[in-house]
Amino acid sequence: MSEKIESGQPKGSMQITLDSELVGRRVEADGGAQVGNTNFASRAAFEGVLTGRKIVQGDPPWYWLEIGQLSVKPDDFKDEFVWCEESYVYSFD
Amino acid sequence: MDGNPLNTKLCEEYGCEIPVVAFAHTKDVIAAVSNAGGIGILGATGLKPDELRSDIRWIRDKIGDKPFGVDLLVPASFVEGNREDLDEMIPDEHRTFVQHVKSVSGAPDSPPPSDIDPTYSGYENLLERSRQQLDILFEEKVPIFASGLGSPAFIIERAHQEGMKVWGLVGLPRQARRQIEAGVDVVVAQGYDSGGHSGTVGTFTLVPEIVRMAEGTDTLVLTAGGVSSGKHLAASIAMGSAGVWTGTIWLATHESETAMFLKQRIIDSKVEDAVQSRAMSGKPIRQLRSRWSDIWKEDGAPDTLPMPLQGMLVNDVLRDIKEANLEDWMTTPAGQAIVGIDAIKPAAEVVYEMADEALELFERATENSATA
Repeated sequence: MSEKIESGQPKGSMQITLDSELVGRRVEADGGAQVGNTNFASRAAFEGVLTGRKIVQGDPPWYWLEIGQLSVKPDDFKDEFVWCEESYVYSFD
Repeated sequence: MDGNPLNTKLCEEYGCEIPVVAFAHTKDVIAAVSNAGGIGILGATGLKPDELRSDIRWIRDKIGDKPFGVDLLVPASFVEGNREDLDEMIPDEHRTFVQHVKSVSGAPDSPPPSDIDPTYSGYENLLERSRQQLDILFEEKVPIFASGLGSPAFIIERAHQEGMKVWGLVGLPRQARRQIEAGVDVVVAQGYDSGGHSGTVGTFTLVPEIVRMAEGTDTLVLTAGGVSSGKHLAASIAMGSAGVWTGTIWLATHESETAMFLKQRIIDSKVEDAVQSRAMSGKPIRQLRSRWSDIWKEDGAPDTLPMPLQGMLVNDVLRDIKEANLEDWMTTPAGQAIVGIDAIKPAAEVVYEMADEALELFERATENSATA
């Protein structure tokens, strides 16, 4: 796997890398997060294309993949990109 | 199994007597359920680090070496972005409607909150905060970590090294497959009928599929979503589950910190009163019906805004309503299991009733089989 650290990173215990082998892969993913400062959470489904950007956070490492060109996303999701935890990212290829 | 159908692998591996797991935000419920022979799991996402540590120690002091755990909402996704300009994206129509709601409710202005934690914002802090909470679980050697949303795969190896068990809640079979492959100890299969952030698949569809996936592995499966009685417990074990994960049924127990008027409303509710509403946050959350959820469905009400705009729009008036204790307007997350709650009881009694009813059903099934 070819990774490099982007200039200006890392942030604390977090590094943002670029993995060229991931770029362009079509994936679907199960996302979700805590809602604001409440005890609630939401689940969310995404489909799109990996940008190749990858976050590695802490020890043991916690991996996050960035998905763009979102063809499936929640109705109220306005952003163009989403970061999803690697375990719940499923490749179509 | 030793002839007692309730003595499942969950009981053998965790030392509980009854395969009933109770998720609750009140530590007293957790202690009561673990002391009654079940397993209490504290919903701790909203707790600050010192509060989390204090609650863990309090529970351990009350239950000794009986099993218990902590549930955290580990994120599964996030958006990287600057949210400073979001306030300008809230339409005037929505601001006007919220003023109308505030007027109708009669809620007076309340003082601004004094305990906003700045570490709750920003995605770097989101991940760091999850780490901090997990570190406390390791330091306090909590027997069970339950991941209420995201995959706990990244932390399994370390947790096992520390002697902890790792559980994961899932709403889809493919999530369960990833967790089983990662070596999670228990998969909680959470169906659509559950409270809060329910999935899209019904409990009776989800559970057998995940039980089949877990066959031949060391991972146990628990049934969640709509569970309120011994009938559900017996059915879950018959489907191959090692027990049940329950949440809503503890809201109306003596030990629960849920307000008394909400306990009474739960008892009086029909299953249709566990509504999914976006009015609090912009995301669908199954909750007890209230005037707040109703007014957002009335003619003339605007569509709710996407998260986080809806929360930004309504947080102040929701705080005003809470401070003024306007009961009809307040709610709690609740699943369709409200239909099985008919009285305020001690948590231990709920555990024992579920066990007794399940055993009776198994005995009856055996008798029917013998006479068939």
